[in-house]
Amino acid sequence: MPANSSPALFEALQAHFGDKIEGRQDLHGREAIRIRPTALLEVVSHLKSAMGFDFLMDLSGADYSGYPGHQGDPLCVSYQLFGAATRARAWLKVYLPLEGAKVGTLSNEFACANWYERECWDMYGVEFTGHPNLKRLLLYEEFVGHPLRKDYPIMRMQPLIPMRNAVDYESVAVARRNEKEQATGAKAGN
Amino acid sequence: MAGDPLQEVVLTTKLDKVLGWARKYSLFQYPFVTACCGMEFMSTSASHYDTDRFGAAFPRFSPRQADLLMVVGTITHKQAPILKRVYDQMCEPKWVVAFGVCATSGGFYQNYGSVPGIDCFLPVDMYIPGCPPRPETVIDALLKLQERIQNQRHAVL
Repeated sequence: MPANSSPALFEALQAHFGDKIEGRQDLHGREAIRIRPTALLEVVSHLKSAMGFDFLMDLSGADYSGYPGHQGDPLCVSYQLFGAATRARAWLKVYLPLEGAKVGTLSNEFACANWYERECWDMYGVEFTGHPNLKRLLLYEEFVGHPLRKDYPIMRMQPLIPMRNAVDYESVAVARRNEKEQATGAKAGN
Repeated sequence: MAGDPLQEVVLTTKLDKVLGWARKYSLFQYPFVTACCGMEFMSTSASHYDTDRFGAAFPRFSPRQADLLMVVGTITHKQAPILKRVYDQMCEPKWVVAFGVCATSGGFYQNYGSVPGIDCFLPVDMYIPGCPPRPETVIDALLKLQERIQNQRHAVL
């Protein structure tokens, strides 16, 4: 098997799972395989038991809301699998809606998925169903919302103790962005 | 009074002045180190720059025994209650130094997670700019702090 997630892998998966494999994406010369969220566990378990992908290298989230050219559900969870014996990689992606983003947990297959999924829940609000301990990993429990989502205002702070001389940074940030947009808009008009 | 034998052995001063002199040369630091500024803090404290020669480098890892709180590095909103508690546990008189831009103003971490400067919830005596500050800057700030302690009023019950 080649050293990268490959067309051969995609074809093998498609032959085995049919339309549970949604498609392929070529991203900077590397191939990602889009999986239907409901079929993720099945596919990963097959990759692990039958194809030797025994290591979950990374699990990350992304929010593609407003991303140029992106279509479909905006929230993405991507999985990097590695086979130690074959030295092969598999890059899997699932896309989820912003409201009620849910996908099955991998923590039964890979113990390391436990904390990855907690971080992804913390930052993006993806609910990993069946996770044994799905609570925030980095932020505090009192925090409301998921800060790496595009609809979370970047300057919205949620202090735990009273802050004095606190500036309303959120409105300042919005005002600056508006000024900038007006300035660049005027420039484009010229 | 000429020939007074007391003048040979007694030095008169003000209480504020002598307390200030004693306190500025016996600063016990509590290093609250959270980020990369810690490296620069360590090199400043170590033998090459040697802040001990100013009487301002003795680290105490209990806030009860410290009178100078060095806040070295980024303070997140999650960390803020801990720092506040450490400050509250220190006995009077106490001073606070914001070491580096993150402690001073949040630095480039202007987002949901970081406190935009520890002066949002602590009284700060000295701000040290830099990312991280050079040891010379730190020593300069310590000397300025000592000058301030020397000249301030020291309340005695």
